[in-house]
Amino acid sequence: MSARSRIPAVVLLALATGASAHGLARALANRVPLRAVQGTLLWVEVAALAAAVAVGALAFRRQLARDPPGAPCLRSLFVLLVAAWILFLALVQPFQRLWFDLALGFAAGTWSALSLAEDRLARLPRILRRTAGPALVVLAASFVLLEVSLRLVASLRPSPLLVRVGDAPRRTLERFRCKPGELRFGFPFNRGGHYDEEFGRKRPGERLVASIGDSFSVSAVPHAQHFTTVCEQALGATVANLGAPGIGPPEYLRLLVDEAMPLDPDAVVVCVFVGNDLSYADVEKDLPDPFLRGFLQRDSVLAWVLPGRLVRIARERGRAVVSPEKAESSLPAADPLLEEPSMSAEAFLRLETQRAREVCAIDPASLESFRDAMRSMKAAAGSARLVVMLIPDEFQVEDSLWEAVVAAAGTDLARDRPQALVRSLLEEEAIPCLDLLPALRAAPPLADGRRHVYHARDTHWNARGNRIAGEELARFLAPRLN
Amino acid sequence: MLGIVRTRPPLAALLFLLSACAKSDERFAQELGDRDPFVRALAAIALAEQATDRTELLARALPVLLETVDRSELGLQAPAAAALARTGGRLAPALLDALARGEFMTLERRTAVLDALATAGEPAIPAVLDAMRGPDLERRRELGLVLARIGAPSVRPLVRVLTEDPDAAMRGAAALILGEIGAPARNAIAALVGALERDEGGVALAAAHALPRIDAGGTAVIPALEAARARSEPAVREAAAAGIARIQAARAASLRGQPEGDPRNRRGPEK
Repeated sequence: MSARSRIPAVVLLALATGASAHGLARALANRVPLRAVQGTLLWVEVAALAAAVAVGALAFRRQLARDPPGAPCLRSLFVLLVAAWILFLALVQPFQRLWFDLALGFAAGTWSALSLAEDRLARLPRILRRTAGPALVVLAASFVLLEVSLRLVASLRPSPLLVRVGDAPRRTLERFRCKPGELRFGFPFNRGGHYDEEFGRKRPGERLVASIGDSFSVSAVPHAQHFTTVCEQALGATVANLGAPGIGPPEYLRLLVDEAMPLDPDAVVVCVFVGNDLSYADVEKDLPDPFLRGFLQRDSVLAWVLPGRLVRIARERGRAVVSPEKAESSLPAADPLLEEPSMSAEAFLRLETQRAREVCAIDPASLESFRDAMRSMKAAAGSARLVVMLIPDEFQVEDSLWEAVVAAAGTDLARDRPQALVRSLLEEEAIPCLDLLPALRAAPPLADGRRHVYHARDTHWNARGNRIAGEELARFLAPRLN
Repeated sequence: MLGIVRTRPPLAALLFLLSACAKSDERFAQELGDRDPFVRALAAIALAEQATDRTELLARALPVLLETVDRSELGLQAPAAAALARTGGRLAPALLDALARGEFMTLERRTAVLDALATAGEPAIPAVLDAMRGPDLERRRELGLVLARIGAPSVRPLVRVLTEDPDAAMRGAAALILGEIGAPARNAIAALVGALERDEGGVALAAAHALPRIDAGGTAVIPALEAARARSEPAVREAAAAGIARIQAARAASLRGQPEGDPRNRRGPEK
């Protein structure tokens, strides 16, 4: 054999050794924080990477000295890389570049070790070499082909099943989701941690709406008074109420894909709260290494997420819809004038002023993340009708609060600006929008001159506000469902 | 050194890598501004670990640590909280400032800040006491619990507040915190007895609550509590009577061989 045929194997082994050395250098450079994060595991990793470098160097030297030169073991390299990919998806999440560098160092070291042990592997029983090797190659190739095909299908024929969403919203949802079975005003959160009866996949002849939102969906009123229940009764269709406190558009998308679409809804209502849903920090935007993230972040790999989504749909099909015992207790005062405030007057005014400063002066450019999220939701909703219900902040509805906020802010504020901006944005995206501001402002004032559609110093609707919202939503949805 | 290179080259190579690859404080400080939140978080954790005597670098790391405590998607919440705890001694004023400004901060972040202050111990006490002043009762309560967690080192500064502070609300808070500290606050008994005898309203009430918690056996505090039963304020009288009953129950329990006097020795719910 000529010296030329030695080159591929030598180059690949040099690259593998370099990858292991790079991983080792990264681990050592970050050893101070890694010791705090991983404890003694760090030194196991350093030892393993050092061994990988040594094995790589040995394999490299042996390849140089080998006569005749050996061919690079490309099949084992391919199988190993796919296995490392799957292991990374299974064990090393969320993706971070540092973890990738360390994992690549381990994988490269393993391949160097296999190259070094090539002669020994050749002594394995013939039947094993003939069956196991090709089988592993076929399995690895199948996984890669499956992912490539799914991405191709997703780009040609978008489907709710093939949407790629980020991992961060799932973690946020896990953190804030209410506990199944926990009672709120005597009504239990359902199996999904949503403030509603158990819901399942739409049955033949049924009309189903999925409503997605934040703390407005978790509710400051008993279930019977919640806007989705009011809407359900007025509309004569099932309204599944999905939500968790403290979430925003990225989590709404996640709820839509993972929990609303398996119900096969006719329409999806995304409840957007003007106070904190418009300019949010998209933690996954502008992160480095987008290409690597696209393949190594578990939730971006369709071959990984698709089985789970199919299982969820099957589970929703078989789920019996049952009503929990309704024993509503600890009810908030029926008379809005008797409500107990949730915050001190100072804290409430500070919060409302802060929100007014942010949303009334909102820059249209800062709505781009919101636009992206709405576009993704529209695509993820597939044939279901996506609509937005725009929830105003209390300072936009209560005139006395607005006056206090303006005085505290000490600057000019455009009270209805966020609604105008969002309505025009949604119009551009052809997403129907129900703006609740006019309806809530039209609520007749009570004895003290205030409209009292929000619970006292709480920022969420009381029963009165929920009733108005529920009836408006039913009116808005009726022509869109028929 | 050369000997190792000759006899054990791999070990020499590893030692070289260990020293050559380590990042300096300045490098980590630079990484605090990285666009990758994971890199920022690791840099902040590293500074909390290795730049313990460089307050200006720790102060720059603090916002990143607070951010990391809230970001579950990075998977570094626990190490960031532990790093915050390590910086607590040097950064107590900055932590208190974050607490004051972050009225609506998440529970995780709030807990991490309070844990950091409690772990900081004695160095954080003056700043914590200072931050307790003002009308915000909730903040006073949670900072009071921080002092109670710090324990014995808080006793002397609290006694000073109890005996010298012109603000009755602060004196009352100091008495309650001493009660929370319990037996380790024995040195405060005289000051508390003085407060029970001389002070009015809330401070005397707080002292009446605190004394039986500190002196579970009651030898030193029973006479003062007995005297307080004759005071004009009904709440103080009731608290003194309850304190005496508590001490008597503890004595009865100790006669039966049950360690009941100190509430922290009690296993079941308080009767």
